[in-house]
Amino acid sequence: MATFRRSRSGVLSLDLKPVEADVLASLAREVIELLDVPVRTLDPLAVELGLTDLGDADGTVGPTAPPDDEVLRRLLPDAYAATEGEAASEFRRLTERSLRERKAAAARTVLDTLEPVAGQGGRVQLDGDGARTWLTALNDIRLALGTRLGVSEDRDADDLAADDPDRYAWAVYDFTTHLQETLVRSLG
Amino acid sequence: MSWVPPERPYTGGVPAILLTAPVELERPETDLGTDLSAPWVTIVWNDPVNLMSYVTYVFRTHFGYSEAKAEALMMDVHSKGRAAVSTGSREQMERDVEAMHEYGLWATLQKDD
Repeated sequence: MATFRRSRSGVLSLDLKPVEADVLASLAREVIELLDVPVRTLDPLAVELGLTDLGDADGTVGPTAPPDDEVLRRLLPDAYAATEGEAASEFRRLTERSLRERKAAAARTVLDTLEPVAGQGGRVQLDGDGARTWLTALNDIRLALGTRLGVSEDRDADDLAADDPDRYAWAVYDFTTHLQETLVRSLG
Repeated sequence: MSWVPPERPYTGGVPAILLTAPVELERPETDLGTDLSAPWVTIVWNDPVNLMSYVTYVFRTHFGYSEAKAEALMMDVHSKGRAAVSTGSREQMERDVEAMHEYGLWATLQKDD
């Protein structure tokens, strides 16, 4: 299974088989699609400067209610407890859009890294910034997969029947777990 | 673990997994109280997906905690279900919570009891 390794110069490298490269790219694309960020707002400079938080002319900057989709609710959770609905709504209104943009931008970085190895596999290399971005993007992918699969403390792939239709998704989840684990350890 | 059965070599194309559908997210239930002078805390909640190594990494990276402190907080989250990871003004805690969400940790802020 593909594993992150750190060279003496500090560069992290990952040798991917064709299917591994395509699975990762597909997951990153799915996360971007789920986050549903308008392309125009993905200007990295504006995102970095926080300009996208300034809002529209009417003062509305984002949604106040949690997303309907369970995966999005996990990626964009409430910042206040359930008893503090008003504070949670106001916080979401001011921050959700830019959080979506930053998460989509991280997933896009993963896609960009993978583009040269799409369909054929090969080696990808990450510097420190790239590795940190990959780490959070991989975590979002795992949160999304884990939510879809209903991962819990007492439910994992060992519980699956041989013909369970989720076997493929569980294998992908385990693969992304392995990647993230080796990446975080490589970062020290 | 293998990706595809050996009798079926990979020929390109992978199915969508995430773009399907639903499960209710548990939400923490706490009361902020009314004491305006009380400091606020950032709480990180346990989560079955986030790796222990990653949670420790986030606490070290974002808060600048030592490896020992980050690991102790991570273990609190893991074994007790939650841990208060930072304390300060409401605005500071909102920034911490937003950062935790960007890292993918499940965090909320509340008044310190």
